[in-house]
Amino acid sequence: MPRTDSRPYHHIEALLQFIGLVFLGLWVIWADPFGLSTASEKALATDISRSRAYVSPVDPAPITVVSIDYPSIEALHEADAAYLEADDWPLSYRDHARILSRLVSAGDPDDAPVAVFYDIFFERPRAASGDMAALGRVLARISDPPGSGERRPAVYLAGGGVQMPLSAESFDLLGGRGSMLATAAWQDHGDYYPLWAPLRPDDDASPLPATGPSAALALYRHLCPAQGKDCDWLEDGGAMSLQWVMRDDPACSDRWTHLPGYVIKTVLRYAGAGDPPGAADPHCMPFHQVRLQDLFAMPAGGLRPPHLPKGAPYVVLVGAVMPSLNDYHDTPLYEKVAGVYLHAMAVENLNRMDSDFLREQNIRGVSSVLWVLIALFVCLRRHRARRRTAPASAGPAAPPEPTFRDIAGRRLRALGSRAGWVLLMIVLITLIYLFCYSVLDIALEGWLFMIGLVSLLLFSKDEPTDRPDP
Amino acid sequence: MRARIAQALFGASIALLGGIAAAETVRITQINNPDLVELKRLPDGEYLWASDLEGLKPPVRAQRAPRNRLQFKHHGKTYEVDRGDVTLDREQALVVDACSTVPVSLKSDSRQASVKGAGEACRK
Repeated sequence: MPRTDSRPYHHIEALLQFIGLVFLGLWVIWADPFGLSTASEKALATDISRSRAYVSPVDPAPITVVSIDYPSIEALHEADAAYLEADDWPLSYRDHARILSRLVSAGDPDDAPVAVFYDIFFERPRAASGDMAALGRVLARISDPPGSGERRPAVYLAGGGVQMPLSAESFDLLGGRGSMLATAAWQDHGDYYPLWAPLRPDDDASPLPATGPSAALALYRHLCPAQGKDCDWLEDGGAMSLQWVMRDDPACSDRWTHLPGYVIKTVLRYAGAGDPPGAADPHCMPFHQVRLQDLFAMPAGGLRPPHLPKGAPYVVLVGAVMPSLNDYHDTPLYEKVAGVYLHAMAVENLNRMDSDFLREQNIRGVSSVLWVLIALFVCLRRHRARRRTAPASAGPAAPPEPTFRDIAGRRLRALGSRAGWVLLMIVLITLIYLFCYSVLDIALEGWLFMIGLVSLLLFSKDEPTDRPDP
Repeated sequence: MRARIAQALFGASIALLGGIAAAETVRITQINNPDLVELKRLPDGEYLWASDLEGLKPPVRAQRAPRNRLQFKHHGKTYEVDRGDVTLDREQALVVDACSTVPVSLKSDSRQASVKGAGEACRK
């Protein structure tokens, strides 16, 4: 016959514990105290992302990135042909027009890209850089070429964003076409890459469109149909959790030489020894990387990624790559990379995964329900254990005083049991995270903290220990 | 007195050399991307696309003008074009520096508290 707890306040105590735990969990989920959830999830996502990059290298993407670097500017300025007026950054508007002309004039139309993103933000007219209207005229000419039947790449400019909108003067001088702007600055998305974002504040009376596609979406809207894919999903919006990947090349991602070393380093790091694994070589990014001076020296068609057959569509991104411009972004695989590569990797993700790209999804509601269930399970288990043990302590024939050996043995067993539970939870939650990340294409939020909370529950004082209460 | 004469002679030689350089004649063998190259008509300053100029077929004789521009005549009118938009006869090929590398990535723990050309520091 089972023993029952005759003390009614145990029910109230259990109920209060349950309510307290639920509130504790909801606070952690919704308030993210001290940024613990955010920090831990970012750390796990970084390691998963790095591991995936080594385990699953990718094919080269139909993407060319042209870097405007200082040595190129210097070389082109000093060249006999004086390709650039400026001998340093920023370039003159005529220099930009000349670069754009080179980009869209591939000779054979089959060699031309389908779209170009020029990742330079012409925030407001700059007198020292010449006449911005000259650049605007060239952009209009590219958009509306003379004659009929000639196809020119669509050109997009960095259109700024809500915190740094393009000035109305620049917009006007550059042609006043909202369709040529791609959002290049955003907020309220954390580390995610939004497909659409505002181009200006809501209350701004500027002639700019209210929202614009991100650079990656703007380019992929041309690349996708040119590849003959189904592209209806492109207008759905959302935000991407970028996967930083590397080219399938033995020099970059040979899993038998790189992966074991990486895993050992990671384990050592979590054990408190060893440095973080080094960054991957940026040349391992799956893009055709070209310097500005190459653009002026290469034969027609040189922009096409070498692996692509003639006629296959590709896109081009152009950006200034200079540390002194401060446009570098943290990545899990390549440390900090120049901003134009962030856009390029977003295009790569869209091109490789289409609508299956890793999405930002707020699942705090699901996390909350799950936490309530876990708290209920643990409290019920604890309460039942008390009901079993409480009468024994209240009985007249109390067992003899246990020896130190007995107490130590019980404590060790209890500790082992709890540690096992914690390990199980860590493995379970990590597996859930991996499953959502890899199969469901969802980057979870507010999950890793559960390892900590469940540990708290399992190690709390009232956990049953098979020992009568004192 | 001698010093003044020497200075005057030196100045005159510089001016003469400058004049010779300004009047240096070159031969344009190609207009790169004529659809997208603007010519400035002188003296009214109107901009025209090179491809819209009827009968313009290089080679064309031109003279160097200030600010790295070239002036040439076509059907009795003078036009100006950027040096970088054309190819000249006996032009030296662009030498590409294959050694320097592009700083595509920086170390994660690198920090920067100023921006090029901003003239002021900003703390991150």
